[in-house]
Amino acid sequence: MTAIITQYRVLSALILDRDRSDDVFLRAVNLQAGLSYFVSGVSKLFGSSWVQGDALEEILNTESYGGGPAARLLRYRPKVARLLTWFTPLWEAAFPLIYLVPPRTARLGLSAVKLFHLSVAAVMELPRFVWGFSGSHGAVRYVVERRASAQAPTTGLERVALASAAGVAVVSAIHAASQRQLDSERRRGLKGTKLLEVADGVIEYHHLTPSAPGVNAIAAPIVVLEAGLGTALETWSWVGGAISPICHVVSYHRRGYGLTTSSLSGGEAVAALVSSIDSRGPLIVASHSIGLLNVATYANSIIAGKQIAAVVLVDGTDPDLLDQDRSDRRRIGMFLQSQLGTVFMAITGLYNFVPNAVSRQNAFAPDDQSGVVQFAFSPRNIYRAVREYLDVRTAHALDSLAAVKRKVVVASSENASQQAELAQKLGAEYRLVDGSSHRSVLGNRQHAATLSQIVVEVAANAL
Amino acid sequence: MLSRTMSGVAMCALSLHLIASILQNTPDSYNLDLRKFVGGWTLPGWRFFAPNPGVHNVHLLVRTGSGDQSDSSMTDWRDVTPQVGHAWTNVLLNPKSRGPKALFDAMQQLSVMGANYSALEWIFGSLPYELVVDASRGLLPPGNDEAFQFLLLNYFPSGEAGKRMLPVLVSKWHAISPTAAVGASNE
Repeated sequence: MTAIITQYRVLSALILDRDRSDDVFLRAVNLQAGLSYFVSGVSKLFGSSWVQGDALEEILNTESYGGGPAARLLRYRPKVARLLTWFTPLWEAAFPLIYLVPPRTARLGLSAVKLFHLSVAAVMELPRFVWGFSGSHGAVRYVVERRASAQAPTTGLERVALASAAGVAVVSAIHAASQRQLDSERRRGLKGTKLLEVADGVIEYHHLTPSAPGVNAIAAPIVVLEAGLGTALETWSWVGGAISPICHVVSYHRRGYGLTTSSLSGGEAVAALVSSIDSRGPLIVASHSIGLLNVATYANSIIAGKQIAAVVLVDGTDPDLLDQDRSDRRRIGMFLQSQLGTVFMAITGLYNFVPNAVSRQNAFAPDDQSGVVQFAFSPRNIYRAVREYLDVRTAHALDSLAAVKRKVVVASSENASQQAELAQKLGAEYRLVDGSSHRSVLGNRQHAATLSQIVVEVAANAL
Repeated sequence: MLSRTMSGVAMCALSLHLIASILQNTPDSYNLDLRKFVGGWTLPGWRFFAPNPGVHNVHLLVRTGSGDQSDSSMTDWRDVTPQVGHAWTNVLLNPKSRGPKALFDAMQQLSVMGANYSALEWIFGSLPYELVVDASRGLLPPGNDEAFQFLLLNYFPSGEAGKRMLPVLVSKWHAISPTAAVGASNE
């Protein structure tokens, strides 16, 4: 803040009219001051450890901020630390209210804020906040008092800045919504997906028939592809394309995702899809990530008259680890925080402008890449992903999968050791796609080719 | 005329900086870099300790040797993390915290690169890496060795028991003398 005040004073000094120069300077500093408190508060409300009341205690446990005498006193009062953790983001986010109250109340509020900075300096030994932010309070008082005395602002600096930023945000949000709409229309078009009508709605799916010369489609294996949490069926596009010469390949969206409106369970939906394919070949299911748990719900069922011959579990979610995560409030808080952040990115369209893991770790063909990205940043799919994460059944999942005749666990390098343990639990073969990450094992063409060879080998052996 | 031009320049610059500051500080836009729209002017980041505060200590460990990986005479790792003194007077002025804080931030950058699976070549060529190499060189205990290596280790005091220590990065071997070179075995 100190640097901002200095820079703004130098710049505003270019305005030769002294009153106007001072007005511009103070209004600019005021806007940064208001923004700083508001942003700091709102950002904390996006943080799981602030919402759950752990943040301050955790900060005070560090050497950098918890070694001072006052910090040691506070560390022995966890209830106070918890209350302060909750109170801090609330008052920071409420800071703009200072512009609505009478000047006397505003002055009292600013004094309380100074006291807060002094407390932070005492506890965390961060004195520079006292000097920098207290230095900006004069600008806040100037604006509050000008407003109270009904003096019109000399310049429209704040209005221009706030209206312009809001305008950019609105345009970005509209652009993002239109992109999602465009992708939805692509799905309905010739190069898109198909809809299978069932009793209670439709299932969105994609089917590739065997294309290699000499392959009898009637006897070819059927490979069903289960996507991961909150991800589009296009995440299987590289693998699907690589194995389709010798197999029927079916990928689909589970209930609540994409254009699927049916609420059929995983097994019922897969049975409906397999029934629509004219092949007496063996049934193989490949899953990515949490798709493993969906496979587990029907792995031992008869699907359209077929027993599942083999499963290929790519970076599958270990049900024991998911249970641990779901029963730990901090971990579930971090998950919900990440989903809240994704919703924010989706609604504001920020994902179109900032690097994000979905775009960076996947490199599909253009239409598929667009499908994967727009799907991942669709608020409806994010909501469905949260529901699926919280609701998906884990009981007996390992037993169910272990009973399948052939099981192959394919690990990305990112989760190699965890997947090796999962393979051991399932009594499954273990394969590693070297150099891949959780997403790029499907989204990188080279890694997907390695994975495809494994699926092809499993399919060929199942014949 | 000159007066109006100067006034216009100031207003435009301030407006642009304020707009960019607002957009840069949305809750989930850490990777957004709008500096190019304001001529490289630094934009403030107001998300103090948010959304997730840093709740770990970063430890800098070093060991020395000849720089040859096969050399068995290299020393054990020694913790050389700069310590910050704590006192009541730090409430008003705490200038000695700035050096360790700069080093902490550089080490934190390397941790983030490691967590994002950045290529090692990219990490080794980055500015934070160079800064930590130089800082380590200045923190080495006296000795007769020619080369050193550093290790970054995150320690989470509030973490689950058994999961508090997380090694982040082991550096290449570097010459202790800033002007000397280390043998090819390092690469």
